[in-house]
Amino acid sequence: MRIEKCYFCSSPCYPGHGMKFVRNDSKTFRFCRSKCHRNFNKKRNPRKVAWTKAYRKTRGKEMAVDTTFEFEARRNRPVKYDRELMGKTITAMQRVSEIRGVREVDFYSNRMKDAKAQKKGEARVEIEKGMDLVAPAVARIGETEAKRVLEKSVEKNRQRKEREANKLE
Amino acid sequence: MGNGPKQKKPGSRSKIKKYKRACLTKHRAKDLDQIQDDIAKAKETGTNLNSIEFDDELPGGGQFFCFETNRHFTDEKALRDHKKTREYKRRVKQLKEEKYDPDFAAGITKEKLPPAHPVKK
Repeated sequence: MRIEKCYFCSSPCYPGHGMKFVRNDSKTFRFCRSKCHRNFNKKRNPRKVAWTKAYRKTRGKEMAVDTTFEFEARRNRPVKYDRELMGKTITAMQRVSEIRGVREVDFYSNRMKDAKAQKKGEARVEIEKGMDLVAPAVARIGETEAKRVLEKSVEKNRQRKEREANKLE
Repeated sequence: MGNGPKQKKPGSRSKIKKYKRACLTKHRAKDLDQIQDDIAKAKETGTNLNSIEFDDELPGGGQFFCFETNRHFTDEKALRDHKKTREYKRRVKQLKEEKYDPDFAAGITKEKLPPAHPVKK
């Protein structure tokens, strides 16, 4: 039994699922579901379809080069069953997937390092562009004028408070 | 005042014989990677993809062939006009791209083994 990878989206295809297409030059293509098969028939390039692994890896959204990938290979030479070797392989598989998980988390956090500042900057630009929507009065009279009006009102407020304090005395 | 060209419902052509026939695997057009292979092979062996032997069955005797789109034309002019089309230009652009490697996307490497039948010295 062999769990193959989908030609289009690279997800695992278990036996009995999906379908296999054999082209007239005897090259075989395995698909995990009809969605992938249909997209292949439409001659779409998997690298340009956003939900495939190929797209995500070529754009650096997912880890593409790593030493943990070296363990998974298409092995065409059968190995004689050995209980000890089997046990070792299974523990190794678990360990490798553990390590890969940690590295993927690191990769993601590294990729998202500057995201917060970038988003903030974008928001700032958007606010500046839509100033007339956020504060219509400020947009109408200009920033320096708005500052002057604000200072004036603050000063007036202070004077009023002083007067009230004098009255109380 | 016109209402513009009438739009057909999606899938309305699926039952028309000529469109149905074009979708069959039997009539499947050559894939991009096959054409890329052809070009690479021709480059290696130094053969000219355009020069094809006369074939009575093909349009234009098979003399006016566009290998990028894998199509035969009836005469020189039709071929020249075809090479000016958007379709042809897009195909040429696509052929220059790197070939799709499903193993890279799946994160599978090739197994490196010592040869099963080593050559004796």
